[in-house]
Amino acid sequence: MTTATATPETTSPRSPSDVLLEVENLKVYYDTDAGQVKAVDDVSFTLRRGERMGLVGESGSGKTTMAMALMRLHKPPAIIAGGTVRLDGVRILDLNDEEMRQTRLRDLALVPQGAMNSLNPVYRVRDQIVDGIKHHTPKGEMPNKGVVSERVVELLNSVGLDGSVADMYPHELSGGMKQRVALAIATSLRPKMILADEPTSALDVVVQRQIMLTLEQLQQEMQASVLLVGHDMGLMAQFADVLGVMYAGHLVEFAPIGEIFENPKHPYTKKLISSLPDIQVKGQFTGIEGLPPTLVVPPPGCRFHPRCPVYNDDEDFRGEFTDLRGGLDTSLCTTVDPHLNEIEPRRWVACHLYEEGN
Amino acid sequence: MATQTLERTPSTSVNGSDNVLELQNVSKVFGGGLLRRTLTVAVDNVSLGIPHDNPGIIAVAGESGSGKTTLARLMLGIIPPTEGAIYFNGHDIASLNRRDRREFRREVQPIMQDPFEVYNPFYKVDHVLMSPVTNFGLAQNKREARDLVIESLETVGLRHQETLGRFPHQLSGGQRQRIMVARALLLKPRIIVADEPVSMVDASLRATILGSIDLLNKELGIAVIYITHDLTTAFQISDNIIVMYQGSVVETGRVEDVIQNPQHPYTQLLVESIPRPDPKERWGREMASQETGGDAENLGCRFAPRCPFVMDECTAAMPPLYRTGDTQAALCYLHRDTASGNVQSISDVFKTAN
Repeated sequence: MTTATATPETTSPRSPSDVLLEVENLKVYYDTDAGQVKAVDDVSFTLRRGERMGLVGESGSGKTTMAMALMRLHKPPAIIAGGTVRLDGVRILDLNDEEMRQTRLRDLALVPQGAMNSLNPVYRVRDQIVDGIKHHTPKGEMPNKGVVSERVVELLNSVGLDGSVADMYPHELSGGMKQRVALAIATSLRPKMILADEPTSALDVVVQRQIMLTLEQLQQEMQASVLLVGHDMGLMAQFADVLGVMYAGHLVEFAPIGEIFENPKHPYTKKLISSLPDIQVKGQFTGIEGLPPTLVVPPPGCRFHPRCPVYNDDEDFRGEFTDLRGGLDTSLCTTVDPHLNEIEPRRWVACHLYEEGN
Repeated sequence: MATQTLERTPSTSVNGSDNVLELQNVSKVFGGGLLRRTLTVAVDNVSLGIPHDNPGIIAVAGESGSGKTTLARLMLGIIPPTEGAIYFNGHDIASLNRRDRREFRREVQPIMQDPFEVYNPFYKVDHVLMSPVTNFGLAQNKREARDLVIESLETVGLRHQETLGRFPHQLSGGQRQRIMVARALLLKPRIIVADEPVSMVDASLRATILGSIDLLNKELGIAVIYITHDLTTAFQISDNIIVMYQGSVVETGRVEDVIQNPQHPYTQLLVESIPRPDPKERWGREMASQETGGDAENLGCRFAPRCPFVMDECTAAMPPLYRTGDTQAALCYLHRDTASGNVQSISDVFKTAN
């Protein structure tokens, strides 16, 4: 398989220290009875300091697997089969377990999917926050009890909760309040980066908006970067600065959020955008035909080609792709896995339509 | 029920009733027993008719705790109402005879919220699909039964090779949910009550599932009660909508009117909070008021404690459903002086489906 070797990094004259997270050719595979599943295959991207990135994909596209691998919280049978991940210059895949534990929460914190189940039902909120701080602070650096206690109240206030919540148990909290506690825990050591995996998937829209605005406020205050994993393009449009689109284990497009919505390049992204329902126009409700492939035996060549409107010369889809398609050798689609190429500054796409010489 | 009876042909009337399903002043109150002293009004005084002809798709929208799932369970006959009555073809479902009850069970089909809870982990998924075929005698032989099952699986976008013969835990949440849709399809019912059928699936699949639900309504004339927290999909597929808040129907009517021109402050808050898929139209910075628990002492509007327009009378007594337009009504005193009367049955303001 041919692979992309470059990393999506800007060509704009920013200093390298503006980059917080660099992911290069990351591969996460599952060994199953049915064979090796390449859940994350050669994914590369960079995230700047203070930037909010969204990562979308259908279920099974590898987005959560990748997020967990970045934290090194992936579970067997998943293994990191290759690639490098640099967080502020530190190659975190090379760290030993103890070093990694110190990195978590302090540098790289997780807001889990559905805080409902991530809080321990038998501990008070205070103990859970303190626990996090204790476990991820090196021995001897732990501040005294009074300071920690003040910090807990400060943290709860920062997520819009009253200090008295510290003495409550999780069952006394609403779903939104639990997710706020999860935000307080995640930001307790002021991490450089926050990884949020569908943090509002179980919440109502009104609460979702409050949580996302709170996360944004915290992130801006700390100048932390955020990787928001999810499938709701609406949420991404509201929150993200840049967006990565995953399909069948590959990152197929990476671009500033405005560009993704206004001028998507990859046919999959294009389909995704055009299938979004809104409350303005009724009846433009179309899906993407076909199903995502099984990753045990992915389709040869481009993994999207069986569903690709350009490859299949879908009539509704000709328009702006016609010129590009004129130069496309569609036999490539079925034989060669396309590179992830930078076609414009900070615009990456993996599709033969945009390959060099096309 | 003036608007409902318009253009109704007598032939569709069963036992003198124009409605397949009719709710008359239905309330459901939980608690009040030995263990739970506080009462929770999960559904408060709902009247609604689902006609035989052109039933359309009715969305029931609300946050968790709004009572929308309780309303669904009442319609399915899973729980009895505390007050009021529910009629199936003119018969009170509390006292159906054996034959009518069997008919009710077949004609009003659920698609449940959590697709994991309804499966027995020790049975393969084939069981959940085959049992309605056997129970209701839908097929002559095994081969025919299998063909029926495969056909319904394909309608919801599943490959039978990847689903039949597997255990529930071997399937994704989205797959399990679609199997529930397929199961409901098998019985070709009159009414489908779908409780959050797409809450666990991706955008592209969501369109596929909602497309098949839409097809059921338009092609087979099955009425669909679409229970959801997602106003966008509600807007896309339904004809009429019921917006609930802490047990009350706060706004109802033609879906375009309610979503694009909401009249109740709560509906306005909900619509504002939708994450619009447009980076140029980002959420306002101002924070909406925090959620509050239900206040048992509050005799008036449930939304009053959070409402930016709250007035004295709001907490004193529950407002009626004011008719704010031909096809719209809101449970809010703001419309007392401008409304054209009150609405008794929710379906009075429904737009008749095309």
